[in-house]
Amino acid sequence: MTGLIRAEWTKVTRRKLAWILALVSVALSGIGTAFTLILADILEGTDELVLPPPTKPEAYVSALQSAAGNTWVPIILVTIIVAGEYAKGTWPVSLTWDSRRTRHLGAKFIVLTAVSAAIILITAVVTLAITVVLAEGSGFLTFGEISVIIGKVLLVQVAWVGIALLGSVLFRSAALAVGLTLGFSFAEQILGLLPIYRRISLSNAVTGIFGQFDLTGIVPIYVPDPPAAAAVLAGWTTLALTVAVLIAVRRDA
Amino acid sequence: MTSPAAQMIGLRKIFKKTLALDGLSLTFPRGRLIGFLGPNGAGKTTTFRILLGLARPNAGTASLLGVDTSNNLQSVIGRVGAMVEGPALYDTLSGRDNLVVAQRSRGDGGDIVGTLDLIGLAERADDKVSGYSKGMKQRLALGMALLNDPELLLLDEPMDGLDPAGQKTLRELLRRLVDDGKTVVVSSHVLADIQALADYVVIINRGRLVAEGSVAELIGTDKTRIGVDSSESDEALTALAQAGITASTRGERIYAETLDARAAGRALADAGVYPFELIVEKRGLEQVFLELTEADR
Repeated sequence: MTGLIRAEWTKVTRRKLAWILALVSVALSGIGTAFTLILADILEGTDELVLPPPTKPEAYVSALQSAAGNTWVPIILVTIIVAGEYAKGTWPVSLTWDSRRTRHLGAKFIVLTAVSAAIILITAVVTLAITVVLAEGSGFLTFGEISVIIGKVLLVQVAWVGIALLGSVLFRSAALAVGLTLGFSFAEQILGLLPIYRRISLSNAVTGIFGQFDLTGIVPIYVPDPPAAAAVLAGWTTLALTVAVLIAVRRDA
Repeated sequence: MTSPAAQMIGLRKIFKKTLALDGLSLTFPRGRLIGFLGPNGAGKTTTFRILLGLARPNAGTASLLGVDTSNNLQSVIGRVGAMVEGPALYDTLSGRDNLVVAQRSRGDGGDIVGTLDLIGLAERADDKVSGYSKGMKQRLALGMALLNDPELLLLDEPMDGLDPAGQKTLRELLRRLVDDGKTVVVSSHVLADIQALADYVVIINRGRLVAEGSVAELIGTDKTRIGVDSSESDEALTALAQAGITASTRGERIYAETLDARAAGRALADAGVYPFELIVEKRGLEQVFLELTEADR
């Protein structure tokens, strides 16, 4: 298994994709966070402001939500790499080196989760730095709080890497897998507004795991408490990985 | 007794409504350079894919180096090198990194520098594969198959994309591997390649075994084609028979199973039959292949 993990690491880190995704993720979240805080500052004391400006701890949580909310990062990373292997024929080739498909998937899952989480953590660091500079008030996160945040980021990435892995194994084409998995993530957000679905909604769980806070105050969505959100994420991860393994093992390579 | 390099019994594979393998049973003996022949769609690649566990048969069993692949493939896959369905490579990585990925996936082992030298890519090893020519990609894929010094090599159309010099080098390399005791199975529909390369041939068509044996056995005896007037054909056959030469009539020609055209001509002249044509026909693998696969239609 170690050899397979090292092989996957080589495949992911020797190409530019992860770096490009990191740049885009940092840029989007950084600009979004800065814009929100600057806007809140400008509107302070005017009638236009819907909510009072966030306190510094609130702003930190918001920055983290912004970073972790980049679910397109694991989706694009995983589908382009894994579905691309099916499309280019390197998946069957790799099975001629080690025939255990579950182990191959396991190695991909571990490496892609790590890389995806690293991208999101870099994004989180940048958005937190912007928040430190721009948010009003005082206070910072403790070491313990930062550790919990890293754990939560990992949990979110694990779920979306699992789903993207399933999309890749299912569709076997990078374009199709990227499109349909991203489509699922958007559709899932809308479904999250429905009472019948919102308790198992992934996007609600992603919001919920970082604590209820919404700077805009525009969309009154259901937000589960962190333990319930963690359970939803774990459930989706288990389901996605189980189905992905079953498909990969049973279908011809 | 040593088990064969690969064995298939009653393999059947259906893709949707297409029957790819129809109860295929065959054996690849060890220590030979085996040509695996068949027209396009005959089932060569499917056979390789089933042997390597990439596809599941609907029926039948397969074994590699004496190990049943249906439940014990991992224990033997490290002793096999394969190139199936063209050179599938990681285009965004360098040639060296492709070999590193192969090496790590196999759990390390294998000499990357030596392999790069062997396949003639040492100077371009750090270039991205996306910039390689088709022949270079083919050589790199071959290198990835050879990296773990396999006992059995399964190569699907390895000559594709190679220039004449590259083909010659590959032929020499494969022959050297067989001389070292390895088994090499080369699928191809370029029969001249196989005739120049292989010492054992397996021919399949429409998912069934058509013929197998050494190249010499399959090609059989060269024949002397003799043209005589039809009114004299009986006398010609008798004269040849008296000279101890087996002959038969096909169309307007007589075919004598001998390479000694002079002996055939003398026998006919002694009987007063003078042929208007006397040609030694060298049979090739292509002729045998066409006869066998067309007869199977």
